[in-house]
Amino acid sequence: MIVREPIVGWRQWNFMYPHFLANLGNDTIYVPREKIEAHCEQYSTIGTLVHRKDHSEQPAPHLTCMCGIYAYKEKPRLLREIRNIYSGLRLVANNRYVPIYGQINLWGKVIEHEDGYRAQFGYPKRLWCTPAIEPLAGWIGYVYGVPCEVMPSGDDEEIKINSPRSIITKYACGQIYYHVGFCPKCFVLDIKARRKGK
Amino acid sequence: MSQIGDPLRIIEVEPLEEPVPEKEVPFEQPADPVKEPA
Repeated sequence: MIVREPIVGWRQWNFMYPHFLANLGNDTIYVPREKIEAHCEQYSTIGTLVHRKDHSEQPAPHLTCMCGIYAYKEKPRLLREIRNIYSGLRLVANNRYVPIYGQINLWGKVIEHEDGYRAQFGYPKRLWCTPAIEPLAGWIGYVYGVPCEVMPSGDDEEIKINSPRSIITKYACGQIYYHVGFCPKCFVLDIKARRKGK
Repeated sequence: MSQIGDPLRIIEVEPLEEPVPEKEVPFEQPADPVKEPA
């Protein structure tokens, strides 16, 4: 079966200073304006066992493997995953989680699953920023060359249901600390960030 | 594949054009407003 239009899925990334999208393990960066290609780690699953297997003669993803660019079919499923991470049901690398989510175009060899896809190639199609990096939405959109907006209020409610409230930290200039190393409004470095009330 | 369920089928997707934006438009340096002395 050959399709001429990219398949559109939903996924999230972890924001990485200064303006990159990375996977949740923070071990893969989506380079702006370059497609990302899946590479097989040569592991396959049979039941609950994981085996090494040489897939090098075929492009990723492989049917019996876990490789590929992942995406969900539906947005509610993605928002549920984000909520699970906020509520501690799933961990991310170094507990540093600044999510940015959206649609991704998938092409090449694509394996359709019940709830999502694993693809050979991918590139973000449209992005939404979560509150921690709202002021950077325009800049991220420019860097990646795709629309990037502040998340709609409906998504905000969906994600925040179980999310913990953290102590509000502000820069010396009064702006809220954005976890990106500098204040995106006045560019004060975060070394001057202070907890509110101190 | 607990994250996205079981595999259903393989699809070959060959778009006519890859959906990747062009590289950044080069920033054009504005003309130097300081004129060379005559």
